[in-house]
Amino acid sequence: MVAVDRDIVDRKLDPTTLSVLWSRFDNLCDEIGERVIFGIQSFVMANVRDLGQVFLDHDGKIVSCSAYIPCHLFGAKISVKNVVDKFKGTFEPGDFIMGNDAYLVASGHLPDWTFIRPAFYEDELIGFFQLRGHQSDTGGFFPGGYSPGAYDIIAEGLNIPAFKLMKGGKYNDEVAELLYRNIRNPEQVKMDNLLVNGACEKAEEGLVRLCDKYGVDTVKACMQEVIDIGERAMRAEVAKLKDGVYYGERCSDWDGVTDKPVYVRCKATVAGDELTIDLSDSDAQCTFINSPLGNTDQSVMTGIYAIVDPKVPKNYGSMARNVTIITKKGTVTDPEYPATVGSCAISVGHCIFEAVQVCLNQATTQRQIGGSTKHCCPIQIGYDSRVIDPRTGMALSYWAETFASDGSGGGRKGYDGWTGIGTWYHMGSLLRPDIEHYEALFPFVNMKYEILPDWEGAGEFRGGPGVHTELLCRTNPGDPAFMVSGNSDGMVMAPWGVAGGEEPPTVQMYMQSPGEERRWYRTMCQVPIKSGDILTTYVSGGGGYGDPLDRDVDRVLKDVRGRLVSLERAREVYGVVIDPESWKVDVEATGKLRQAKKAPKPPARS
Amino acid sequence: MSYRIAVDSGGTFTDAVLVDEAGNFLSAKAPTTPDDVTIGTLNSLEKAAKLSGKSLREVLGETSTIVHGTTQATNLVATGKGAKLGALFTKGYRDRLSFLQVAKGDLAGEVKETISKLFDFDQAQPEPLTDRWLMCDVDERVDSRGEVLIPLNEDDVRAQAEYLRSQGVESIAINFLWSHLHRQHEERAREIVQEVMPGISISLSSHVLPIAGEVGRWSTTLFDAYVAPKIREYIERIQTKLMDAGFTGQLLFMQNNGGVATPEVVSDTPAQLLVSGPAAGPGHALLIGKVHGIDNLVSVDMGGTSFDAGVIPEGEVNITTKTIIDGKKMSLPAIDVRSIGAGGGSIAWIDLGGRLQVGPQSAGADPGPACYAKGGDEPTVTDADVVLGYIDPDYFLGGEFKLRKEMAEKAIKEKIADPLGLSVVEAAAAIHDVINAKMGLNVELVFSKRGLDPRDFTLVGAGGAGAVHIAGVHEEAGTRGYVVPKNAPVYCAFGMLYADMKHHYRRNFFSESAKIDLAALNAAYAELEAQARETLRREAVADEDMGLDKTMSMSYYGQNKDLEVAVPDGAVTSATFAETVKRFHDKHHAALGHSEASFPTTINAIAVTGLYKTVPPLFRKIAHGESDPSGALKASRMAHFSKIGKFTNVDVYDGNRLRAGHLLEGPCIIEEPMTTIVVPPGHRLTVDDFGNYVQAGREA
Repeated sequence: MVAVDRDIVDRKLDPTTLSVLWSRFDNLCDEIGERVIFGIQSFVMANVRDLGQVFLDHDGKIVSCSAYIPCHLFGAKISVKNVVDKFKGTFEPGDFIMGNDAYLVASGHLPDWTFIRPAFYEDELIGFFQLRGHQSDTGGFFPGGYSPGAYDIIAEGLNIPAFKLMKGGKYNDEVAELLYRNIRNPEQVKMDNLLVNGACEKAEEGLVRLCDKYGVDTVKACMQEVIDIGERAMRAEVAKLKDGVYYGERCSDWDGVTDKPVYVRCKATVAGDELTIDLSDSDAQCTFINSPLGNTDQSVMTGIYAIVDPKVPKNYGSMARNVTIITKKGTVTDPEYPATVGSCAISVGHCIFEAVQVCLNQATTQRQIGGSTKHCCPIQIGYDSRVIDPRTGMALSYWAETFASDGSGGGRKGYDGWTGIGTWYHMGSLLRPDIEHYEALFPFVNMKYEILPDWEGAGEFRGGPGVHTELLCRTNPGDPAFMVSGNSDGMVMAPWGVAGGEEPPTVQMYMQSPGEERRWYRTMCQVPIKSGDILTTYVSGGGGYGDPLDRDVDRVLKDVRGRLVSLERAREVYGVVIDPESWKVDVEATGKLRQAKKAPKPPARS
Repeated sequence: MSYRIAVDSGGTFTDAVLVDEAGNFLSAKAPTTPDDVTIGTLNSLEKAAKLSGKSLREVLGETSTIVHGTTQATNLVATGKGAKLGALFTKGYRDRLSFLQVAKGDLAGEVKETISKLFDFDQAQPEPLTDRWLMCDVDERVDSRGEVLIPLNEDDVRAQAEYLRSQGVESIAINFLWSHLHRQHEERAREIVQEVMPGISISLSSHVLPIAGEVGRWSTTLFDAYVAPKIREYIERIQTKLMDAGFTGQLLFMQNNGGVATPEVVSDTPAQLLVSGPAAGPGHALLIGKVHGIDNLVSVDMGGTSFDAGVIPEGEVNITTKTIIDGKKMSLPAIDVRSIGAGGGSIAWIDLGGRLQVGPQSAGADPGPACYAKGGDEPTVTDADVVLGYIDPDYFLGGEFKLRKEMAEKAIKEKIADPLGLSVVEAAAAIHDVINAKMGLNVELVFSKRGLDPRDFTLVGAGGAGAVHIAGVHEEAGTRGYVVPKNAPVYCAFGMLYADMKHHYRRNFFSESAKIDLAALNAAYAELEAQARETLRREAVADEDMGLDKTMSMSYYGQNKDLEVAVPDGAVTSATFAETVKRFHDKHHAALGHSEASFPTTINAIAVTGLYKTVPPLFRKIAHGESDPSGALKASRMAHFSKIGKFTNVDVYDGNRLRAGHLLEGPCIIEEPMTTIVVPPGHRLTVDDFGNYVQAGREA
């Protein structure tokens, strides 16, 4: 089947103007991000880039996404639409809207707040800028929104329906007071929110300059043209997939309450240039890891975009016109109020992303890549009474994460997996903070930050290596402190291998007090931690691509010499014999060994 | 007679500029000789000397100063030919730099990737500068207060040093956590390594860049160790060669911070030479700005493969600590020049969405644009410029090299025009416009990031390919006006002639502003000032000629990035401190669109810049003429302008025959020996007293 140019409007745009304006749309979004990263106090937004900016048209359709974390971008298709529907006809210049409600805004978990600023040219609504990002607090029974075990969504955090924090440029005192009264470190969060407004306002000024220069009608026409190009590109890509119905399932460790893995099941139907993703058969909703609709939607799209040509424009045209997403109410991919959603993205969301890829990898071999690790790096929360925070005048209340222990990416034809890139769900846009910046703020010391030998998924192109960290607690005795693994997953199901590549081991963690036994520690938990305790994590590498016995011997030698792979593993798994004195490969022995290892294999695996 | 000389050894050409006391300039270009760069350097000097009618020995004997710009350090990194490098890290941290140092979308540096790049898995992860088996760790640990948690295990250091010696490493980096607060462990480790490997080059992170943030500090230190042995050797070699050729004056090197330094000082931290290539451009723009009383400038430089833009608000050149080289951080303060892949060689192509793209891939010098007829079949910007009649195929680089227009037309037709359903000329015009827009966007971003308004700024610059495009870049970026300097083809070399001696010293200094201890602050500044003075004294600068500028890195409490604000001169008093804090609030508002005067602020680091200002140039005036330039008319030819939509017959002027005061009405073309200036319809240029071309405002 060939892509059909349906509803193509000739907008009489010359290629230069289109090219220029399209780049400008991307850049306006990037600049919002750069300003916010520079000025924001939220540790994860500033140091980890846990945010994303989107430019949408007057109707709330995504025109352009910045190169930030996909979960903060593609969910705007649903969340901004929800907000636009709510306020339709009442937008005015100077409005600044925010919200996080998992069911009304439906973008995802509570600490990721959605901010929307309508952009006007003279009195005409041209579009919206959206920024979504991880606040340093969102109220609830514990700071940070990643603590498992909340009774319901009310306990998990503050539920904020979309409201105008600024209305026509005027700050909404009464609602703001109520809101920030229920947030830890209110002055900080408030300033962070206003900073986002300032950054979006500057983007709006940029858009106005574009309208001045190119004409508002041209700008609007380009916005729609870009969306149409997105549709054409996605149709052409789906048409390249093999028609059929494909199934895939992936699981999250558990929900922190009921001790069983939680499955996402995906059925993908490719018919010509139409693609349907049906998640209805996923497990019934549980607690803590349920995925609100916006999060489900973005996870599906991230999975699809990872399979099709990377150059497909990421906008409404490629998301909504030939891609249909079906969910069933009451399942983990479409939960009902008041189910909790604290870890929706890194657990169920991640499984959706993976299950979509498992399905589509059966429809094409074009872009197969070994699985990546899920996010796995426990959080520290508590008080430090030795530090008085001048913003509150009280003991420092912290919510911290090193991001040091994240694992690696999968192998891909021609390329080994990326070391410590973490989950590909974030597409490499999550940044590891400097450990010195972390230690300067929080009473913990990271003693180990290393590659973990022999924990890669073997392959002709191996997965990235495993990662080994050790975090020493140096809290003030008596100050409450907790270790939270509600943001971590990957103990049950390992990243996959493809095309004959292998799986790496699954994640392990333990805590140890001086002179005591190891206490094995699970994901989706929250436990007290005291000064002197050490948390050790072993996080998986990525899945391999291709038969390890086909791996280039020089690459194996380099891995062994660098102690990413042991001599024994080189011999057993990669079939390469190396002399550790001379660092030379025994070519003859290797040839024989590889031949012997290949011989008894059953005929072609599917 | 006494000369000053600048010699800029670039990727393709080495430029030399010679100026005498009367302000007479001579410039020459010679091919760079990559195998031994000193040869090309001497060749260019020889050529310049010849133009002056003297021998090289005579000229060098009368030369007081040579400023040398070299891309040697940059090239060592680009070609992977630096030292075999060993490194010692804090126990448990040998792999720290093997993880991504910046997000995937930022690997190309300040140039943002689009989201498509994130989903492209067909790329390899950037690798560290050395192999994992040469990155060792030793037992030691300091905490965030600078207190020792685990003492340095000296036996461990000795054992690792012995191992690295057995591996034949040529240079060592020592990178410990928190060494900017506690340098003793690194210094003791250095002593032990020196005992094991006497004379080996050793770079300490607490010396190279003593600031918080291990990734930037350590990565920069690895770069330093990587280039150090070969840079020191080069410095000695060029010194010897120049002395042998009769030079007895002062040799200075252009650093990446836009200042110059003596060979001895550069040898301390050779990483100062990384990305120093475009660092002199802004200095040239400043000189032009002074002549015309313009404070707000943007320096632009368009060569064959890259386009560099640096903003100079109110005469202050911006400094960045965010340089990315091959996916790795180089955090020394460097001139903030934003480079993108846009130049004469940039290739035009059509993307998946049917959108015309130009660059960042470049056809380079070999095979080069299609019109070079050296086997290149990709259409480039230069091909478009030839098709449009801007560049005379018979007068490229002064006629040294003939271009083939029909090859340009063929490439554009096949790759762009036919697929898009355009004529060849329409396609060429689109390529020209898209690259102008791209450069314009790059310039605009330089502003928008800093909250500056392009309408307040004047573009200055050119470079080999720039003068064809500068009018378009100006229109796209929405700047106030533009100037093409007479010395445009040797833009950076000329800027080097007048670069100041400049050295940065930074240290951590944390305090909430409300709790500032002024005595402690002044003591910390005094320490940095002493360092700056000591360096300048080593460079034979008299105490009374030294400038010492203080800055403070500040943030709101809890923010994770700093803004650097200038501190008024003299010892810090409560009044000047309050003024500094106010500057922080103002700067924050301008840059980010928000500030809160009552929110608690902190000081995070302080810095001192030691300066010795070079004597400004004496420009020699050219002869004056009336406004009518017809005396310099050399020919006419057909050129195509988007605004007119068809080919028009335009006058072509000989730049060397133009006089001060001449007014050039667009559309017209000015040909200088090494570059071509295109004046589009509606634009007017005047020739100033020194031969620079200044936009004279547009006709209604």
